[in-house]
Amino acid sequence: MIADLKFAFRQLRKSPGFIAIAAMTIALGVGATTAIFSVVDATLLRPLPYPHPEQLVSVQDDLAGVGASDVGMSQPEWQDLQHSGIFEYVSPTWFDENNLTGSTQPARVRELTVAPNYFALLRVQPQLGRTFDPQYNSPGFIPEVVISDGLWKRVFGGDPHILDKSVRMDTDLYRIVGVMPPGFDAPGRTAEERSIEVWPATSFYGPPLSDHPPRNRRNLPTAIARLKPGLTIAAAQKQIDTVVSSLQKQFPADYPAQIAWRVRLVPLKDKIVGNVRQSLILLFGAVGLVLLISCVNIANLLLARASVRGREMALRQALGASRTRLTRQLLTESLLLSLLGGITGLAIPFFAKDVLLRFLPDNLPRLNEISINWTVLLFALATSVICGVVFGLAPAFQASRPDLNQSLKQDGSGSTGSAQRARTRRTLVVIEFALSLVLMIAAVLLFRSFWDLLSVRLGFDPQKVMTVRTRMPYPNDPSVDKYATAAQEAPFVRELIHRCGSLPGVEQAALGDPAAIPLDTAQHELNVLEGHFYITLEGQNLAQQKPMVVGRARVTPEYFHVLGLTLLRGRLFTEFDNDAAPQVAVVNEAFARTYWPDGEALGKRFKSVKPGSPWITVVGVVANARTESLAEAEVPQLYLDLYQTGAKHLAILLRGHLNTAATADEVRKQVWSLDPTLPVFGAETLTETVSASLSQRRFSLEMIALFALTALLLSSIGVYGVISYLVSERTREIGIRLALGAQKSNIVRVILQQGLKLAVVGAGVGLLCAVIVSHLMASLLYGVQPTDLLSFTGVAALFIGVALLACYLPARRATRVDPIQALRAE
Amino acid sequence: MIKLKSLERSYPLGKEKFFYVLRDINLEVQDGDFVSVMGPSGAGKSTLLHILGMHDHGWAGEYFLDGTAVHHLKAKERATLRNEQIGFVFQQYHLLDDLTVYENLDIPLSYRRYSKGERAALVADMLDRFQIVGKKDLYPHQLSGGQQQLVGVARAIIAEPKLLLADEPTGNLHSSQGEEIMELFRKLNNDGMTIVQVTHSEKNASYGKRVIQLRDGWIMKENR
Repeated sequence: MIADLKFAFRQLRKSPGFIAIAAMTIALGVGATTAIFSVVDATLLRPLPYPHPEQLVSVQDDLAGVGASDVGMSQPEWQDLQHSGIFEYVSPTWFDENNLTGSTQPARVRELTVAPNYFALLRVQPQLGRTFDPQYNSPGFIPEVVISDGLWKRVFGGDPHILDKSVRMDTDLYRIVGVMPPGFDAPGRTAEERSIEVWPATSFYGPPLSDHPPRNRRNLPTAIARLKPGLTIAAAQKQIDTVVSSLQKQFPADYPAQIAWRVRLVPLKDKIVGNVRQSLILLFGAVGLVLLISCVNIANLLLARASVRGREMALRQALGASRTRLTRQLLTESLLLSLLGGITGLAIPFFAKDVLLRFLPDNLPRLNEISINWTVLLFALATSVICGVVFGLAPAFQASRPDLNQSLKQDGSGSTGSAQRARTRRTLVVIEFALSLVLMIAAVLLFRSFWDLLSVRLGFDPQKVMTVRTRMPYPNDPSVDKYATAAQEAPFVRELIHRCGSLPGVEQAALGDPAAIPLDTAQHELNVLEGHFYITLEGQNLAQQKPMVVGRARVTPEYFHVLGLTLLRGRLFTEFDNDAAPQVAVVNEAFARTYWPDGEALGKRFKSVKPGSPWITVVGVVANARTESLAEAEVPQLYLDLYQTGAKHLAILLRGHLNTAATADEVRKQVWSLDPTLPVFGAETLTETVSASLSQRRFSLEMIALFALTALLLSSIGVYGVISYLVSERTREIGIRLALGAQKSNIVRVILQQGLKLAVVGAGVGLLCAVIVSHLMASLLYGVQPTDLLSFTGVAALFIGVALLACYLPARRATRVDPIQALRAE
Repeated sequence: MIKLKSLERSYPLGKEKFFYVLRDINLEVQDGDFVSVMGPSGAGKSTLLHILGMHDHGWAGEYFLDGTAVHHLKAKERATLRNEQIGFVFQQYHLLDDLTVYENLDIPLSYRRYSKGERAALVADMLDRFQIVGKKDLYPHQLSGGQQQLVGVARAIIAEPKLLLADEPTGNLHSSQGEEIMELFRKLNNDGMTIVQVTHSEKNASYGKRVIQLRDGWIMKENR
């Protein structure tokens, strides 16, 4: 073995050019695969960083009857689950942004309101102090908070005596009782949800919430739970189903059969990974193809090398080497080569990690857990070894059985195995070509989807619009809330609009809640309950009617002008639509058509399912706009007047020639001149928001396009290599043809035909595979069919063109064959 | 048919040093002539033949073929002239392994301006003339050496050249096969074709009308 290794070193050292090309090809494949694996490992494979993560589940309430899923639960439901005997703990979680005051400037902090059992549920300990008593069950908020290591260091300078110190949030005083260790992240999908800075706790009843929360008030947006030890998720789901059906019988008014209420347990990791799983699997598949193509190229190079070494192998065999011995020798060489490539390839994710992270969308789950750890290193090593063995095996096997008689008689440049080797090489190139074509078609389909999404008519004008956000306090004692009602908030809103409208460059200003910011997907995800509204329509039998969930934004009258939404019928909000006037709504065309398909929506009334809610009259219909999703043209959307409803989270929308940073500073000054306790944050242009809503699609597209181009490059090199090899094998034939009167163009045509044959077969196989792959990725496409003829034929033509180009160089070389030399070589 | 004046072929050896393969060759070959070029190995016989066949362009001097000054022609013009006037027979036959007898005969025609029908007719005629119709679908490795060379000659003359160049055409054949080929050459020459052959065999040379002796690149003597 040592002798094999020594010889392998010597052999490889003898061909530095071969080593450089082969090692770089492997490095490219292994490096790219390892880089994506590090993302997949952190996101999909690595268990959540809490003890016994397999017991952790997300509890999701679905109302299948109204087509709504993960709608949140009510406080009584939480209590039912908590006492069902299925769970060790269940904790609702409520993400919010809060105002931390008392320091030099009011700061916005990310807060997660949890049940007192939250930390016991996760089984994590603080680095300082304690967490909450999991058995606590009194009304209202516990006047204690646990803070993050980041907040402790950022705001309190890592004060070792921080415990028992007070902070004020929303004018409420809390005592700091614990500091979580560095690196502790809350289980969340986005960076925002994970980097929680403050955890208050409550039993979700009593001030500021209701003393007796109703069963059908689903105000607890998300919940996590830990199953009792030994209970599987499937078994727990069965028990939950029993509990649900018993509750439905016990409370038929709250759970009418038509809404089809169901509680679903989802592994917490699946919930966190959510919708990126498919994108990442697609990416991993794509990069796997690149690796495969690299390996096929290597196998091709090794086969070419085996041709050159036919005489050496024959000599070794004649001297007594067994086939096993020869195979082992050649395998050692290919293994050494792939390890060399693998180590070089590791440098790609290692040194390019920062570049890779820049490519990744901010909302990628567990982004901060991406690292080059032992698993990733082992993966790279294993990939290299497997590549070395699998793709070195065929060339080694073929080279180890030379025909002694022929090989030793000839000058060593050929052997009887060469025809078989040539066939193998052609087959490998066809495979490589087909794989690259699949990748390129996937990239083109994604690109066309992306392009179509970018080119859709938005229905609003994002140009020259920016948004800045603020948040009104939400004190635990409603009596001290100076913005408790819409009427109390209205003067602030009115004055802020007036002041912002007078800022330099600002042409028009409006206010709304975060749901009013079009395509702010991150915000929409975080505020599920804020942006959605359960309604019933007037004149329909309430007992039989299913509640409907619609997108809802609360806005001031100027909003429609700032965004450029088109009024189709009726009117927009006016100054007379205040808290004293009957509530009115503006709806979009899709809303009007969905709920009043047979008639005019104007003047029709609907109301929230919340008990005691007033009827709301539709006064205007605006044109549909893609404010919810770029991909969906007709999402029912309703707008309520902010002066009639009020809102705690506010977005200031400005139109004009604006400098984002400078305008944000000006807005901050104006907000603080009205109320110095309010935080001002999240300045962004609307075009940035629109662009960010495509970040995950863009990431998939960029990565797959990058891989497809790499694959195209690799397969061109493969085609070039094979045709070059064939040209060298056909030197005699070309010499004869030239001697018989062939013109250079005849020779070029013959060589190109050979390349064309490979390309056409490869394209045919690739197109068939692409049909399957494109159907698998259909859900990622928009506006383009999975079997889009233009994309398929265009890519196939491109590939055939590139293949012909790759053949042209060896074909040109073939025309320079000297017939005398070629014929004498015989 | 052929006129060579002070033709020389050399290869550079170093700074301003040359190795001469052919020196001051002056030669005339008339229409219908049958010339045998003889001499020891390294005398320059094959080089001379390849120059005549316009496979080699690195020579100096003057070369007239059928009145055309080859030394003034560009590479492409030489190729056209060669295709019109010359057929070449090789010692190793040089049939294309992957093509059948029929396809091998068709190859030279495919490089010249013949229609598909003309090509088929010419190939059929040649198969008939050389009595190899039954072998038209065989591959070279399925033929004997003599049969391969027969195909090689048929291929050389299929485009009806005026001049046939043969580089040791019987070198790889046993005597009876060799005689068969030489008889064929004599018949072609009798039919009017000009032939220049390189040979080591006195017997083969005796089929021709003239013998030129080459030694170290010089024409030493000529026998008629």
